[in-house]
Amino acid sequence: MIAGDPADWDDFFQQSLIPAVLSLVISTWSRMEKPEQTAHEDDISVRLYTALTTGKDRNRHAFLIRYQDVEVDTDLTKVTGKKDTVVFPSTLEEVYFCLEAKRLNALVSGVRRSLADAYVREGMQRFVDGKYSRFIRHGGMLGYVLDGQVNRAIRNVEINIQTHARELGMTLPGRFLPSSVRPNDSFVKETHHRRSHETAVFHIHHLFMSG
Amino acid sequence: MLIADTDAIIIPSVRPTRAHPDVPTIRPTNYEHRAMYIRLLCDTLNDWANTVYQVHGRTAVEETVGVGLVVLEKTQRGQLPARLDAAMEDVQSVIIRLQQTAAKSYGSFELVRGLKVFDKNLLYITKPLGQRFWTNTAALNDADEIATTILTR
Repeated sequence: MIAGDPADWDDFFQQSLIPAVLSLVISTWSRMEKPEQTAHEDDISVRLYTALTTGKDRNRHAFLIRYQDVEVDTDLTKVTGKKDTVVFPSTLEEVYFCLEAKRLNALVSGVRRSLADAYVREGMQRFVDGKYSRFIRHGGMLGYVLDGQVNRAIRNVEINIQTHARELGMTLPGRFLPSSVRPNDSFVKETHHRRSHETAVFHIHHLFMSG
Repeated sequence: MLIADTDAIIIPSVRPTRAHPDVPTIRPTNYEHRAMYIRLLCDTLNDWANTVYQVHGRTAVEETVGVGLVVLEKTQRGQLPARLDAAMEDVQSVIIRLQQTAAKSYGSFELVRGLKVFDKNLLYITKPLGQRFWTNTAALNDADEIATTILTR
């Protein structure tokens, strides 16, 4: 049973999990064979998961990585979704860092599609609605930019974020912020959100991976 | 460390009999157990802490109510604790105050023996007196729970 306000302890620990996860994902992706422009999201995620868990430096990271972990609403005893890639730093089921993956600039039926709308509405929005990461303050989005045009993909996503800024609980106009974890990496961004079920700010770390 | 706890405390306590009810897990903790517990708890938290801060800790017991008290104080690294001595002065009144704090949060007036209460830069933990709550394993578990509470708040 925990009581009182731990606010004075907020800055006590090193926030090492998220930087470690972001670095691991980025370095793993850089070693992977890049996916085809028509590749499906699940296929890419399985390959990324495999590379993450079989990497030579895997033992340096004391966390569990799971693919398509099922999210269960324990109040409703109901499955509410599947998180793409999840990192568990402890044995507590509700404490995890979730990376939700979406394709960007993919070839769909021979036509180039930005898919930025799906990134925002079917990815980011799930964190904001508390469907994923309800009890924690950080989540991650992985954008597989299949044509390698990362800056264009980031611009398209940002335009969509601005369109949905209110639903996303963002301060208008709703823009990307530089990453607080990797401030010098232009392919990593961050957004902050107010969620209806809590007062703390929720952070989404966006990793745009070049295909 | 965990194997040593299992060997010395857990295994001898499995299936107590009427002839041998006094097993290590429920035997009251002593000063050495508590010193070992608090040292490992503080070392573990300080190992995880950023370079700016550290924790100092003390333990005490109130045998009349069967409750042990752990108090941690967060300070700048290298700085001595300023509030720990005062916090440990009257253990019984501290426990009563913690109970009242918990009652406000949880509406319960029963004696609380597994409570963590944050009070500015102090963290109070109440624990039963049985040895199993003061092992190295318990220290690591408590450090994990404290870190999880702070990091996921």
